Amino acid sequence: MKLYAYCLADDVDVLENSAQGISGAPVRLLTCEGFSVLVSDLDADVVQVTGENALAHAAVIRSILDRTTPLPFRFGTLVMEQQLVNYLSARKPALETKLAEVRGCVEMSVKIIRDPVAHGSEPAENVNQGTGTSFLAQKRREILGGEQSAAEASTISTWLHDQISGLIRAEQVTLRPSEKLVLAAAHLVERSKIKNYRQTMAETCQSRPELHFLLSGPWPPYSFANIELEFKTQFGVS
Amino acid sequence: MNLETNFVNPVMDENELSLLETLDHVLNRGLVIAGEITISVADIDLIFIGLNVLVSSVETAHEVLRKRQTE
Repeated sequence: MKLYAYCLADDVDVLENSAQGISGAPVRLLTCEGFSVLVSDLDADVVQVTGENALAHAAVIRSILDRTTPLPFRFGTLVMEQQLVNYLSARKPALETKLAEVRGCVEMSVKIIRDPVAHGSEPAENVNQGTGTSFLAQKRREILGGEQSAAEASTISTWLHDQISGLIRAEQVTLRPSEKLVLAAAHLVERSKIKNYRQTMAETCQSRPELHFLLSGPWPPYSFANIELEFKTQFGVS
Repeated sequence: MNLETNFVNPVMDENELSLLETLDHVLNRGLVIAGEITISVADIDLIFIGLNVLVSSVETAHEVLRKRQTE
């Protein structure tokens, strides 16, 4: 029997009305090294990626979000109890640091999507061009378009940061200069600043009608939970 | 403090958006246990589905919105 791990906290002693876990299993606390890990038993080697399982994973973590800010494990974290204990013991300083970084905060999510109509379409090809010329022309358009999109995504990222820099403790931005999604950003926001953050983001959205914004949150700090892997320093990988 | 998640999108069904955003968060992010312990997911390719579906769905939503505005 393995343990399915949902999240980790350092200030939860008792579970109150916890949601049901993966496969309907009851969720319990495993305490070790000063940490509390929400786990449930699972008699399987893999976890099926289904909407039901993903929502169960999220619901268990959310069940303690009102009380604390936990570090969520990624979906599908299935371990033997001794492995989990070893992990908590070996990574204790890094996990404590990470918990301190997110304490009192939640994650807010922003996705910005370019309006394909406003962005314009590709120029028409010259019907008199040969196959090779057309191919090279298409390649040129792809390269120039990619560079332009990357520059635009970077500019939008800087602009967004300037709008909300005073309201966030940290951010994770992934630029996606594709045809559709410009960037995905996660903001770590102190709970006392959520109202101001939402108000500012609403005004920010209205100021750029050519962009589409998808805002959601608050979430547990999924984007701010991971710790650095030691092999990077041990093996000189940067 | 009651933390009710809000989804801001003008025309998209909130339940659908909630599932897609949840998939994007739980499948792509979170604390990863390294070393001999691995993430045990049945089909790793599915990890990338969430965000792609989300973008497609948002585009569809805005297309509907544009049509409504022009009518």
